[in-house]
Amino acid sequence: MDKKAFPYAFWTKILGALVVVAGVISFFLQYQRKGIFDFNELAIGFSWGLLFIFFSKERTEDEMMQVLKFRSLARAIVISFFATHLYNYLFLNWRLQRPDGIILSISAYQFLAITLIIATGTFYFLKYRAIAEEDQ
Amino acid sequence: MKNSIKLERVRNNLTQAELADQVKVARQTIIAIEANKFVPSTILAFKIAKALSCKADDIFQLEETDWE
Repeated sequence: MDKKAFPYAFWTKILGALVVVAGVISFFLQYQRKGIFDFNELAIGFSWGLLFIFFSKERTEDEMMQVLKFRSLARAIVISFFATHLYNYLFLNWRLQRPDGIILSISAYQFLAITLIIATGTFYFLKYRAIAEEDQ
Repeated sequence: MKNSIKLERVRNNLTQAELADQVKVARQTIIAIEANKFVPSTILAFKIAKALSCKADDIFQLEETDWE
């Protein structure tokens, strides 16, 4: 078992959560000031925050946590890449009509944010399912 | 791969938390291994066997599906 698989200490999850909250606040402040939904700004907050949350060690870091994280990340990359490519393809190649304010294509920050949201959600779901077995 | 960790653990009068503590993994990991949801590495399998005072062969058995 590689004990250094995840570089950040457990407490960096709190830092990550704070960065996500700061990103959300900044997103709404931008809307109040400029009247536009800056999804790139929101994605920057989410991607930095979730980077710390997902890639930090769990309270008890062991091989199952590492396997679950790998599985979650593998699924998340495939799903988000498919979704991103489909969105970009539809709006850039087919030039579909889109309501005002909806972004034309998904940026790298947004792709990373989507990937990490799916990966983090999947990881906690798989972890919860392992505990749920016991309750049954 | 199936295992008889739960049986051996009860025989050794250990809780899941105590076994997890001895082999330095999370309690969830022991739960998942007992429920055959997670196959441990060789090192962890040997650690569990040692904590339960038996051989790895005695608690872990290959199934037909493992050969597919």
